[in-house]
Amino acid sequence: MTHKAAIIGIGVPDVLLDVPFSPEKLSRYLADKVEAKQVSITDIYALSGGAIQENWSLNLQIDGGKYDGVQKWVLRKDAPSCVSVSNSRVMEFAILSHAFAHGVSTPTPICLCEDEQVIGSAFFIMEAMAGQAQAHKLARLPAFAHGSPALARQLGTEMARLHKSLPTAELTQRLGQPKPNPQAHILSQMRGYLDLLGASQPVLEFALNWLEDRMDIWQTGTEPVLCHRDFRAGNFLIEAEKMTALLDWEFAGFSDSHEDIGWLCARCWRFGNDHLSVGGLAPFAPFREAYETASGQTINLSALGCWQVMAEIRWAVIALQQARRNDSGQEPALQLALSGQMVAEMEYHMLSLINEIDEDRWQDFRA
Amino acid sequence: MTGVKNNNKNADEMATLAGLAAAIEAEFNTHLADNLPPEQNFRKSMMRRALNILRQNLENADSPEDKLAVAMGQSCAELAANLRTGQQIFPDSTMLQSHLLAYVKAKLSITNPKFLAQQEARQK
Repeated sequence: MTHKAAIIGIGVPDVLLDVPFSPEKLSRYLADKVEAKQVSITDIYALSGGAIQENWSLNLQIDGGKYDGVQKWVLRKDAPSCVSVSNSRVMEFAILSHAFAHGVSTPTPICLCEDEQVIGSAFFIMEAMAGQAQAHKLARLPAFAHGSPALARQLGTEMARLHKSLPTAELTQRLGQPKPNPQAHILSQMRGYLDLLGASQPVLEFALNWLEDRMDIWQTGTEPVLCHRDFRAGNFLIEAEKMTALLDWEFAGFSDSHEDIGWLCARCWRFGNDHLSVGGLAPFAPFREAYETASGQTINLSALGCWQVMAEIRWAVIALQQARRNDSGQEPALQLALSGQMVAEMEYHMLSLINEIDEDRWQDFRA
Repeated sequence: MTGVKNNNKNADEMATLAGLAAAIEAEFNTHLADNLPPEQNFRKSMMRRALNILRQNLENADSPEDKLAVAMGQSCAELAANLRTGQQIFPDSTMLQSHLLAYVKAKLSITNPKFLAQQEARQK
């Protein structure tokens, strides 16, 4: 039996998509899981974005139980192929639940299904949240033309909340013990990924060497903390200059707290608003003040510059991995193929940053 | 991979393929793109970008990788390997950076000239 669904925002009957699972089977599973008499899926559509995972919007009519009434949820499952660095859905659900419990703005986690018989792979369900995630569009809004100090403060506070949270022993076991030297670990990891790809990338090799030579500046000596590791514009929902939810926890793990800050402030994630260091949406000073106040930790700007370079390297490696999914025939898709064509942009940022830092011209975080 | 170089094909064959790519691009832009419904705008922009990159790659006789190889006296793969192993010392880091930047700019002139122009203006 073939199931059809519309893509969000289209809503005309001739552009229906195949739903790669049985909504009826899913309804029965959900009814059982949330102890409802009946769960009816009134609408289902694929959410855009998510090159690595698939997100499906579910409009539900639930009869009985804790969620009785109309509900709008999101089902998150693996895409047909995924990149080496992403967590499983089981792990992602555990991290999402941890962050939610510690007051980070995330979608409310509803349930996890590890039984692949239900829709063909493990998945989890979370509450749908209001807001806009598309960073290109957000960066063009008048509210963000000069940057939002309020958003900067909220992002600083939310990130500090995550970094201060202490994972349970069970979650730590699942994530693996924190690496004593996250910098050396990520260098080795990136080189390993390049080897797996068989990719000859002289600019990435040069930038990796440059970081290795600056290990004394890069290492902050702070204890590794739980990091989101994809905390950037595009991965959080914004409504009225406020973040309503931090999404996409698939890369989360232990690292130096500066990795998250460097990623959020990386030049590749500013969407044309180069002057706004915090995701192209907000200035750095209020972010820094809020983060340092909430975390009790002083941000080390020299180390942050190194993490900015690493952010460009890491995004370049992920883009190469995405392109490989297409090139290998595993998952032919133009969007994935074009990811590989973006690598030169990250390389440009790497070389510019390195040059500016070496010549003491780097001003990303100067007031 | 930005630079498409196929040593089994001669210059005439490459020119023919570049012509074919240019014709497909023109056909798409002239006759198809404007007739697509608004909900296909994202796919349309991806198609435009991909066809442009493909045509420019085929039109460029020397790929950015070839130009870097000439500048460095070793292939792109050899340079990457030498940087990894550290077996070859590059005493003039400024010169190496300069060649790598030229290589990146050559790639960007094919894949995203608008980005390159914006960044160059920012650097000034």
